[in-house]
Amino acid sequence: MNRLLTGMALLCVGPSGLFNLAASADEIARTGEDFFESRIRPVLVKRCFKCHSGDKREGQLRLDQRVALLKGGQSGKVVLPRDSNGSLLIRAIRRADRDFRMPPDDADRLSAEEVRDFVAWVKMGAPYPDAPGHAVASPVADLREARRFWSLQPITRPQPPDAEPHDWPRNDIDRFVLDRLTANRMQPSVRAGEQALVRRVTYDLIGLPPTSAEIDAFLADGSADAFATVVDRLLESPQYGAHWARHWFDVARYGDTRWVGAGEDRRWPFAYTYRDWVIQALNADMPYDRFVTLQIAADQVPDARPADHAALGFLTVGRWFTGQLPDVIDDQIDVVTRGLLGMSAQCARCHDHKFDPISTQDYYSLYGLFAASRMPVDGNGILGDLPEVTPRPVDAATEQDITQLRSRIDEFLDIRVTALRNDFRARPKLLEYFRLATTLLDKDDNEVRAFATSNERDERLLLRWVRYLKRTLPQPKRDPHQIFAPWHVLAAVPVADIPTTIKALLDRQKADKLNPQVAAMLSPAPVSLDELATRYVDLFLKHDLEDRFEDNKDYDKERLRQVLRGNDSPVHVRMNELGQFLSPAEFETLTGLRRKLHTKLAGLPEQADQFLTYQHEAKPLLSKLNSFLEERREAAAAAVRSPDRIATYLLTAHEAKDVEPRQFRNLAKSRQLSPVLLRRWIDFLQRLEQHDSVFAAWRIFTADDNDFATQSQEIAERARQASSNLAVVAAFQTPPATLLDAANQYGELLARCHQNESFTNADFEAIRQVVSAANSPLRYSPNGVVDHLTRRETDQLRNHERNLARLYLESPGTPALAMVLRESSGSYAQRVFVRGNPHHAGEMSHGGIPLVLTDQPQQFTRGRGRWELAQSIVDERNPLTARVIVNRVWQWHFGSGLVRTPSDFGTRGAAPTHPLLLDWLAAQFMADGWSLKKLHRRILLSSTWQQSSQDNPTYRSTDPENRLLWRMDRRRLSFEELRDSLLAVSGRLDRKIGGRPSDLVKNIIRRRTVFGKVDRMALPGFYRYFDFPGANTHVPKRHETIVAQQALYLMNNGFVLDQAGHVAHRTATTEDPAARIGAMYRLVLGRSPSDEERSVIQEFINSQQPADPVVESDAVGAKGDDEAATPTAAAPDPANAWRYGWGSYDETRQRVTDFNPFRFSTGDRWRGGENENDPELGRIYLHSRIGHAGPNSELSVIRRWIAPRGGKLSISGAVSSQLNSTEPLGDGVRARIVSSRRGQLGVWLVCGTEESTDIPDLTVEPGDTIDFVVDARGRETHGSFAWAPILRMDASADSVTNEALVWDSAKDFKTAPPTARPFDVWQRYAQVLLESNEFTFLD
Amino acid sequence: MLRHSGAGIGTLALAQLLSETNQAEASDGPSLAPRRPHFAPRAQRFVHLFANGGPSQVDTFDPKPLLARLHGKPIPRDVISTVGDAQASGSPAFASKYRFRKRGQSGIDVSELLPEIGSMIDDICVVRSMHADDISHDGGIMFMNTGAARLSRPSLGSWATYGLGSENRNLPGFISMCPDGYPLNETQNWQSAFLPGIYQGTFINSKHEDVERLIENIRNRRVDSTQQRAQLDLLARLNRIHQKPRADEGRLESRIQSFEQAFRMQMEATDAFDISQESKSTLDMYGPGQQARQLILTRRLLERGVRVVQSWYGAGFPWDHHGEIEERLPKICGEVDRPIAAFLRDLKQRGLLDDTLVLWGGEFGRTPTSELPHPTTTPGRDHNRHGFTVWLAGGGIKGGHVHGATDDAGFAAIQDKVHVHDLHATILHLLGLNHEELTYRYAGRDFRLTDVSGSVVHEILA
Repeated sequence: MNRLLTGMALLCVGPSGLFNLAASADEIARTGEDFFESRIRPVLVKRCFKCHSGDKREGQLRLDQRVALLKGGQSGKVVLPRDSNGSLLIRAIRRADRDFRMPPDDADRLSAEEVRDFVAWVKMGAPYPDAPGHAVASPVADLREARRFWSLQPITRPQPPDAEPHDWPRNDIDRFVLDRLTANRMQPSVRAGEQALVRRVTYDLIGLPPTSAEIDAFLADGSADAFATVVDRLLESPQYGAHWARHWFDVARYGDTRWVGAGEDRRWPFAYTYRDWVIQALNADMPYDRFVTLQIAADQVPDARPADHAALGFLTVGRWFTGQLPDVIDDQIDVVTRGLLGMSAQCARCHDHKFDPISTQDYYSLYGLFAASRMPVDGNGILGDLPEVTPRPVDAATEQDITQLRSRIDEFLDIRVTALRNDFRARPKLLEYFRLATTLLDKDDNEVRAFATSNERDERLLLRWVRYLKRTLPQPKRDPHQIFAPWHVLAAVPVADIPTTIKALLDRQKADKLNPQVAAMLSPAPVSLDELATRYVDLFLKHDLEDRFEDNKDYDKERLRQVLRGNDSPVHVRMNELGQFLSPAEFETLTGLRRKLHTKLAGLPEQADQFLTYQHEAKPLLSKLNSFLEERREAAAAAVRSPDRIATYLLTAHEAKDVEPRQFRNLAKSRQLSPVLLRRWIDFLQRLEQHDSVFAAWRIFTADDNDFATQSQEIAERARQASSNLAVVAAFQTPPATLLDAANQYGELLARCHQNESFTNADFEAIRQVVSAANSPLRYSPNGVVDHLTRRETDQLRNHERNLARLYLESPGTPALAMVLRESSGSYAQRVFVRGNPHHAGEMSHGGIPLVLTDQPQQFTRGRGRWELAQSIVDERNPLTARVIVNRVWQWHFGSGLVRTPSDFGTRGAAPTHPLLLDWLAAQFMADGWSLKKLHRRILLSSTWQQSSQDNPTYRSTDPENRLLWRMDRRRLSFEELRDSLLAVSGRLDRKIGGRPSDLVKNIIRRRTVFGKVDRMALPGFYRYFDFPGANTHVPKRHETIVAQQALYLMNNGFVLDQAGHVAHRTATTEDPAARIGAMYRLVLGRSPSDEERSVIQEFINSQQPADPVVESDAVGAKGDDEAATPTAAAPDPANAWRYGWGSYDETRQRVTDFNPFRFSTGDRWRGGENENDPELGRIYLHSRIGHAGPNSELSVIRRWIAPRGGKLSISGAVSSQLNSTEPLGDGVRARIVSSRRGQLGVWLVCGTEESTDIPDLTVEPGDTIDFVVDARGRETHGSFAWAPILRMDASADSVTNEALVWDSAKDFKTAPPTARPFDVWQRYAQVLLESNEFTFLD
Repeated sequence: MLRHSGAGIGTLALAQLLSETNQAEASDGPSLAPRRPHFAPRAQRFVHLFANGGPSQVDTFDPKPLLARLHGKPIPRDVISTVGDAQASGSPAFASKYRFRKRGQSGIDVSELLPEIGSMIDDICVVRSMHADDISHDGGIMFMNTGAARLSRPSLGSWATYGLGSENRNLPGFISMCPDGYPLNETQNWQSAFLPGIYQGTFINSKHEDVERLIENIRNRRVDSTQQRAQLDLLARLNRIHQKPRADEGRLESRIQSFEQAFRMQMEATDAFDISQESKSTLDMYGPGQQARQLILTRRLLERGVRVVQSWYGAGFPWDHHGEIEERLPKICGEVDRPIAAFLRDLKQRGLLDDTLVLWGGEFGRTPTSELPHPTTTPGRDHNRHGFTVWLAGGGIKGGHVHGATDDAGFAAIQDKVHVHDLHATILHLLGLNHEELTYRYAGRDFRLTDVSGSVVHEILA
């Protein structure tokens, strides 16, 4: 049983989850069944099932079921439970009889050990679990046979058939399709109408509806290749990638979050860089073989660009399974096997696949490969070392410049705060203020201040002490304060009573939960209150210098430490409190430094500004993390290779190899060894050859019957003889007196020989080679440091990483980083987990790609394994890869694949409807250099794809599922297509590609759905109603349902209503109702309504009452449009010139591109929504003089002035942020003045500063807008500002009144009472169009 | 017929079309139309009162006098079997502070913490011999819901609605309610995984009282009901014109009907969640508080034909009492005792209990030993998957019955053991579904809720 036990590798190397799994390992009963699974079944499968399983019953014997095995065969019973000598099977495998040897071929003979296992097994009573899934001979047994299955045969390139009628086929695809149709006496459908075709192809390629202009252009193009022109245009559109990437994400189970334990942050910080990489790769038509290779092994591909590392997201952005490594890897195996090969391997996690030729051997070979790769969150400090995907938005010189300025500010603040803290913590000052404050506890703040002033004490410090001590006073219904209760009691009694009071206190100390340190301090009783105060202060100071006490048992010490160090300590000045302790002169200096910095920053693009902020914040976090890791690495390296550690490991490995899992852990713990490393030592020693020269002596030393006390000479002699290595022999010239001695000798020797350079001495060299081998426990790479961390160190590492992750996620300037995999120090060698149980390791796996895919099994090479796997997948001789992808692409064009189970090309999957076409497409695809765009083109230009979707009742009855492709299938838009279309027809779609994910729950998000955050842990309902896949596992094909929730969404969802409003708005200028009916119809459905449709709609419009006029900030004064107001000849009320809203500022165009009037007012201010913090717009608001900035330039607060007339204008005013705040924190706001005619007129950055924003001389035309735009530089906090500009127009410019015109934004400010906004009839009509079947179904 | 606009006629026409819809959908892939079970069901609907966190069995339904004698001392090895997670078997015995009394005709022992539930014990079958696989909350809760600890598998509610459809087309077929936020694992608890999305549970934060916050997109601020009716009439007319040359396409008709259904749903849902319609005596019976409110909602949903309702105790895993169990357990029991008893009584009074299956329990139980002492808190109990108690009541369940037993310390199930897979098999059985036949083909394999195990516990069936 020893081998069985030692094989039980503690697999879970990642720190998380280790404890869970290890705990349940305790109870794995080592039953006979387990023995059977690990030792017997594999041999049966390998050696016997070929002839004795399933239908193959040589000698009428079947061994794949317990019943059959016990029944026996022609020769009678073969196994007599518990009687090994009497069992025929044992005789046969022992090859005792000349003419009865099994397996028949000598080359297949069982090893002596295997025979012993069988004997042991029969003695146990031949336990053989007959559970379902265990008793079947899988196809694994005969791979040659298995390869005869259609999908595993080589891809050929069939000749396209010659089918009638000859005029129908446009390309070879059609010849294959037509051939099958004619064979079934069917004919293809006619070509779809032009209108339908252009709509269909646009959705197919970019997932959006065609614009009217695009439709018109196509309809007007009479040339023969008009359609090809459209296809090429769409293939060139960057939106192509955005649409097709979404298809790929169903395969890659893409998501932005993961399943984590309670309290952890579930967001993947950089999943989106994978998303963007896929989009770019598709847009660039990256050959599919390279596309795949990079996603599996970008880190091992020599010519990969740094940006390509993001491709590894394919493996890393999975569900994470709270860090349970076996599940994480299972998911990676699944996404590779089903996703790329159309083969499911997950069954083989527990047993050989029952139907397909995938064995547990294959599964665990892949397992070992992925287990040797670490994901960023798995520790290793990789989190701090992700490759940047995008170039930095700022040049090095500027970066250095800004960094220096920032350091000067930091330094200034740091010096001040440290000086203050030290000053306040000085012993005399502590004593003085502690005593003083105690006398003032009945005074209010003002009295304390007055006292401080008249007694020349530091007012703020005294106030802090008083407030602090007040909080420690006795409170009804609360325990007395653990630290200060005695102080308060004693301060109130006469000095003479102190000793008795103390005695009483000490008697009650348990009940009062008195801090033990304080209790100890009380005796002997102090003679005065001053002495007690001194003792208190000294007690505080004693703990002040300590590190944080982390241990629960040091809780009371930590409480004492907190008196001076805690966040609420009277002497611990926090950075954000520093302001109140600065002198006016210091404030001046600080402001000066900041102004200098701001002037430099103001000129930079927003992205650069935010990036520099990120750099500033990341630097200290990264350096802390790195120095922590550096220390740990050094310590770990020493721990692995020091002679005495080696000796301890050797000894413990000897003792531990037979113990139960729990004892194993206890043993490791008691010797302070890493259980992982100990396990590696055991495995290492186990796997060495029996005659290995280096450890042969050790084997002698550790023999069971050694008695060092009496036989040390003899043992040493035997050991020397056993070893052929002279260095080893030399080491034991002096016989070791104990086993420990021997271990120490080995420790010295091995430590000495472990080095990189080779020895000239052959014996030393031999040792070096053994101890430096891939599986040697002395091997240690910096990336493997997590294996050596203690629980507490792991927690510390997690803390560092958490801080960093928070920064990554929350700093707006975080660069795009790639979620990579890194090879760790582990080897790929992996044992099979018997029945999927990671605590029950069986035989070694073969360590290569699934055997059915290769004629010559080859082990993955360390460091190159994933690349080799990728190579074997994209090898043109691989029968699956090309077939699988062309079939997927076919499915995404037609709705169903040629193989209708696109991720299951196994025996349980569907057979291809057009096998020849599938092969031809696959062959052609590879011949085209794996180009997806060429494949699209070929499909889209075929007559097959261009068929009409019209019904044919006869065909429908014979081929209801349209397997023979006698028409095009109609399809419902996907969720993404629907949402994107709503935005497209409302004219609101933001076509920007890439970047961080947006939360689509917010109705204001106008980006394509692919850029929405896929929170797989809590996907909003509307995704699921529309059959968006759950993103937890690979999805071969989406369901298509029609449920009432979809209708509710279109009827009532705020986002849909907004789009309907915009559709109506887009046609608002068309005054003739009939024309407007048609215009809106064309906008939404891309065609004009028929007469019937027109009259139905007309009837609807006529029957409805007009709605109340809309009230919003847009309409506070004059009637006006968003873009340009109609100027009024006379402007009696200057307030009419102002608008209030939010929108985006485009840096490149230097214009405000999107202005949205505020809709909510509190009566005195406009704001984002009904609540102060609107779920969509946040805290933005505008008041007459002040406001709160939007988070960034895309959502800025805007005060807009619309020129009622032309003339020469001057603007004056000043913007400030946190001006009077004493808090030198936050990053302030950015203010811009933007003219619709001239672009940006000025930009200022303020934080604790004020800048004047004068624009002296500016000519405006009527209708021009001047926008006062404020954003918070990427963060919403600290976004409040004050800015009330005044505009003056030259008097001479005004011919009517001949006097100066003034618009004072503060004086003119107006709000309106908030009103609900019912839809008018046009908006309601627009919504109906968005709800229509025609909008949702494609012909 | 739908050419006539106006609410009255439109609605009339709908009723007729509804039956057609069912047909259209039936031939059209996944749907929530009611389906025939494998055999005659004992229960039409299922409600799971999830005590998430793992309630202590020895303080509630599984009295162990031995613990009082052993209190503070280790439990001898011959009392608890050799299996043992971590410290569970090594820590000192921790006696229950609470008295047990024999309740009802059946005389089953129930803790004094649950007097009201005790008064209903004759309708309840207490299963004291549960055991589970996973010792962590996330894995345990997932397993209780989906029969798998980590892999993405459909939940019990999804399987049931997949197998049976829903009796109410105007409400979701599977609803999961929790006051004040998600339980641990969030939406994965009611996931449909590879089953179509329509079988996924709909989550409702029962804290809210406004129907709009209970069900997404149920209200419209910009279009009133009359206007919306007119919109839908126009929509139907345009859709009919569009449909004419595409008569073969069943999905077009389904979609037309889905809008009518949605229109009705707006009213039905409002009605279902309007607790003010309850009589004073009913409200009094349930008593005050969130638990009461949620259980009244549960009953209203069950009454309306919702197939599966999950009623979680609270966000996260609040029944997790590692420390301060003597303060926290009485409080939590006090909150659920009256409402749950009232819920059972209410179902019974309305004749609903006969064909409603009720399950109460957590993802696992707790140890009869105390958790290692902690400086700042009083003791509690650790997780225990080897033995714990759940109870069932209603449709097809033998009331006033105790099934199975744990060892004398209450640590591990030893007699008539019931695994979570067995519990699942039994629940499906009572719903008329054979757990081995209720399968779904995915990734080349037929999956089922009970994986490759589970057997129906016939002993607890009436």
